Amino acid sequence: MHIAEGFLPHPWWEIWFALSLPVVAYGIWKIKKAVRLEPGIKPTLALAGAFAFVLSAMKIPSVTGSCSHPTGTGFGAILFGPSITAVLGFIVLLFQALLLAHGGITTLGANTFSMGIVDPVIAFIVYKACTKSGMNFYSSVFLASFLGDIATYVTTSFQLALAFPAAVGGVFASFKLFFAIFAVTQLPLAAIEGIVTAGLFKYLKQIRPDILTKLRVEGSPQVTESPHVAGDAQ
Amino acid sequence: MKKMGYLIIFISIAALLLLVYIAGNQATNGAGTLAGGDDDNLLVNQIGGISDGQYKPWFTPVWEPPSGEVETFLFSFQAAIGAIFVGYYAGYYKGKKEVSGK
Repeated sequence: MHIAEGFLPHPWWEIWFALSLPVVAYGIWKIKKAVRLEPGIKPTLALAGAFAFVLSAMKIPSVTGSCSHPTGTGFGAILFGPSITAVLGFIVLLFQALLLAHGGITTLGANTFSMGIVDPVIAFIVYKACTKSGMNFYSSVFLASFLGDIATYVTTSFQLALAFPAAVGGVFASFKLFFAIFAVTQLPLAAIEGIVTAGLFKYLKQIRPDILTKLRVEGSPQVTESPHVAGDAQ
Repeated sequence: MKKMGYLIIFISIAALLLLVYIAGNQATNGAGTLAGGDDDNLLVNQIGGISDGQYKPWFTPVWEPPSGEVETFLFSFQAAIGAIFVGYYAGYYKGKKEVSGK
């Protein structure tokens, strides 16, 4: 995603800023509250940020004015929920816009909306739905980050389509075209993101089972019954 | 119940892939193939402005990496910093657990 600097014309970049900033503000408030209640989550919070940093740096060229890469925000969404992840996404995008000319300041709102808000929301909902339906923990994590990643590109295509409707067929035709180009590069990338996220969760469960309990991530019986958690209880 | 869940998930993924396939097919109809690698020409035909160079970005980045090599370096540098943190976190808590486990 990362719509390039200046690629969203007048009404649109303000609209996406207006939609993203309240969520980011709410997320900052949530982070403050969560850290006050549980100061031990700080390193894990930074881990989620670093993970998004690493994954969103792996870009390959795609549509003009944008690019393709994994987002890495599904990890934070499963751990901390969407609004806190929106703040992490915002910080990552701001750094990349200023230091790497990757994305941009004017398109920051739109990029935060797709990578920092829609992706975590979808990942969070999918994760909750999967674990509720009794699915294996790692499969749920994979699906959540996979679908969250795809949702990011659906959103970016939609943002570009709204700003650049096709001469024939309007916004919808334009959307289909953008998404068709994104899909080629994004389906494998989303699968990679899903696998990496599930792997990181496996590691997190081995080294810090306490944090998963604290953040109430382990909603599934699969995790509570796991020998790691049971063995590490004391 | 559990089987139901898997079924729903499987169907939704299949539907998503089908949708992408159909969208890809329709987008390529009448305007050459996507596989041909000439995405830009395709875009020119269907969406005037963004890819044929008519659209001029109205705002340019405040600072841009001076060359392709520098840009690649900065990207790998960024990934390295992130990876250092992820590795530090994993190692720190693994060691801590081993010590406290004894």
